[in-house]
Amino acid sequence: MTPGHIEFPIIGAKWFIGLTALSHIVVASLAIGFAFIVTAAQIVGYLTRDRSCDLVAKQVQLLHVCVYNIGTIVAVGFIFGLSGLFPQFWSQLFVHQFWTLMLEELLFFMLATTLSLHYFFWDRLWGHKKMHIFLGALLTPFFLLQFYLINGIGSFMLTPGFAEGQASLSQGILGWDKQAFYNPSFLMLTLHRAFVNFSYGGFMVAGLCGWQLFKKHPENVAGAYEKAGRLSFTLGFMAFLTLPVIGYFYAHVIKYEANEAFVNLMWGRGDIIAGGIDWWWVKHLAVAAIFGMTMNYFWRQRKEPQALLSVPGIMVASISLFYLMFYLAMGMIMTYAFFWWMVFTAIGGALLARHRRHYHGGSPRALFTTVAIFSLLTVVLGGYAREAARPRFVDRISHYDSIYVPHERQPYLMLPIGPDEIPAPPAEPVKTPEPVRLIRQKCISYHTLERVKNYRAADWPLIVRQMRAYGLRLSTLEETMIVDYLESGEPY
Amino acid sequence: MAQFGFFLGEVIFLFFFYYLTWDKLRDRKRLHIFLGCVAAMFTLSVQFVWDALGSYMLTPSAALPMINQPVAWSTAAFFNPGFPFLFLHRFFGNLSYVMLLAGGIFAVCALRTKEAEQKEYWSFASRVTFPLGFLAFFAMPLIGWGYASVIQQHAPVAFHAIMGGHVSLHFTVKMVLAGTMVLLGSAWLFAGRKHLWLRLAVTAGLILTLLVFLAHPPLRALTESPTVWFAGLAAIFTALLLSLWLFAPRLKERHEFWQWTKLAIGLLAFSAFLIGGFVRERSRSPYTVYGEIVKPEVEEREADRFLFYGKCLGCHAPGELKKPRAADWRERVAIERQRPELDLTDEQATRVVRYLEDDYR
Repeated sequence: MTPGHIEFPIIGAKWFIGLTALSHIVVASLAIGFAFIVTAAQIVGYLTRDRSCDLVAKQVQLLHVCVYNIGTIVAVGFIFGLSGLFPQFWSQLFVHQFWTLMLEELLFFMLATTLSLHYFFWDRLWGHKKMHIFLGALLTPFFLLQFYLINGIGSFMLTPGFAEGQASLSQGILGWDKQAFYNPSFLMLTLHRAFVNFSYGGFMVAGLCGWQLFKKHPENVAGAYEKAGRLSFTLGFMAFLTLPVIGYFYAHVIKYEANEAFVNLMWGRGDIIAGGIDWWWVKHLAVAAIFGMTMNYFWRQRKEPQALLSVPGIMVASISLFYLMFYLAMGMIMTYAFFWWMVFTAIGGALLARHRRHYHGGSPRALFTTVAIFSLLTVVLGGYAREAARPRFVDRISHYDSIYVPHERQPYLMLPIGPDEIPAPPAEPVKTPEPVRLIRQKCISYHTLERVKNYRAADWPLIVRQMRAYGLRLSTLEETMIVDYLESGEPY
Repeated sequence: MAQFGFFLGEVIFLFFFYYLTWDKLRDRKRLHIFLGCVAAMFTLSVQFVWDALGSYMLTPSAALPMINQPVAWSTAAFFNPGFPFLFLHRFFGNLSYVMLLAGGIFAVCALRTKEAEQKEYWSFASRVTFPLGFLAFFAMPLIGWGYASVIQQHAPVAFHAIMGGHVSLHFTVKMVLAGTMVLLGSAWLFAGRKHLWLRLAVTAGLILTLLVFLAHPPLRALTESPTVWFAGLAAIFTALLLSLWLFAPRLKERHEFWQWTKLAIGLLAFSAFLIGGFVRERSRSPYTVYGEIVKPEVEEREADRFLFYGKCLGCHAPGELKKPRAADWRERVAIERQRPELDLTDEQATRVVRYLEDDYR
């Protein structure tokens, strides 16, 4: 009996899930950033007795209400899609992490009510400003807790860690699997997404303020937008700076816990390439462009020490040097072409920012909106790259079949079919030969594979022994396998 | 997926195009009202889809597909026999209870507000919403009658569960709440000599309700004689209409009592709405989809009860079975099994006896 599945017209099941998930992430991430920025602006407004900050905070909160509505409905579509298009996978994931998802639902409720109360009672609570700010400040921890829970499930799908659902398998269905939740990449994903959200939110608020500065406003209102834009831009940039560091450790975990995904990312394989384009590269190009533009902004700010949130030039130079080293390190892992592309894009970004500021009479409005657009692009492409790096489900009823085999299932999970009628698990993907895996894993820890490929010497035993002398950890068996394979001239 | 599209349309039109543009479109009121109507249509579409799914669970006309045969769409399942009745019943039910409850809340707001202008506004809002909600209610008995007939035909066990079975008590409470609501609401609508057309509309609604009751067979708890049933109903409704036309207009409409009464009526309508939903869902127990999927946590007694309703209540009323005419249910069931029209296996007979011994001692 062949298991049937529903076909989604035109775009197919995979792209429907991808589109709804990414749309949700785009607005959900924005909501987290907005919540943080609103509270920051309200606190600044309260401490400085500056009503313009409060005005901007209210405007942003209205946008927040709008995106929250859309984000929630898109999430409903996402869940509908998963339930119908990938029923086996989704029901098992839901059972596996039932209590996690129930807590998630409770947080949705808390967020929706708190957000509504905060925005719609803004004027009524004018006389209780501290309480109102506190109410708004509750949104950020609620959001963080909510995406903390989702990250446990999302990271499990990339690095299952202990084993897929082993706790549930050995102890019955618990609705909660601690080892699966706190899987190896959970911490890194959570940190990375937290700072991405703050950064994205900050840049988007700055972009919206920049957009408002294109319109005609009274001087005090325009001043408020400019001030809020600069504040948000700086907050967004501070969060942005943490990302290479966290990203490095995140990649490190993926390298050991989801090696195939790591290889796909670094060398542009699998679904990372779509339409002939390496989308992970494109994401990094957008990041480099943002970096160049922000550096130009802060470099110019250093000349105006009286301006809001200016930083000394030495700090701008130090950050630039740090990024240069980061791209150099990435180039060593991937290819040096990556390094050069990033450097040139960053320079291009800086020049673009310079031009746009001159063109707009020194106003940062165009810069803010451009960075916001690039920021949106990085969030979308980053999410896509993370999900596409994983080998795709070959069969719609795949992946999770190794967990709940029929005779081990709880009765209410049983399907109305006999064990012999259960469709066979999908064929195992072709495994990378062990010597090839060894070459890829061991050599790129020290240099690019290009060096290996460009090497013309035929004395591989000597070269590999030299590498061991340089510090490469390799057993004798591994050494033999690598040497034999390299001598055979087969591709790797 | 269609539901997802409707949800999306609802949020976009209701919040973005209707609520947020309220002041901006002040000078383009027709456009604004049109946008509100589009939002309402999306909301109604959401209800349309949910009701199809909900009614399918009670009167499934198409069998559930197997796990390896996902169909994604089934016209027969979507437009199942109970669907038009559930949709209409819920449509008028929603309209009625929301308007009545809103009218009640507005009335109390008017009572508690000290500013004259605000008081006048709340009173006006209450005077508009409450009668609309009350008149919408009169569609319910007629649609409900049709819905009950469909359930009787396509989900007979659920019908027995409502009419004398394990949810009959809830159904009776619902009817009492609705009856109280009708009495109090009619009295208010006749108090203070309101518009003639309003009083005529209420009278027409009450006559329609009487006709539905007359079509119903006599309630065995009250009488088994059709003549007594017809005469009694006619007498009660005539007395009610006479009281409304002769005495109720003398009551003062703006008395504080009426404002709180309107809130109470709104709460009664809301409670009746809630209990109605509970009755509908509980009646098919232990099935999640009637005759197709049994709920995972099903108990033996519930499964036996379903069997008992299906096999016995076609001919016997539950009250009749309570009379201990036969001390030994096993013997009684064995006698019944000799009747050719009763198809009962040995295993089923054992279960029916077990249920009767436990519940009809």
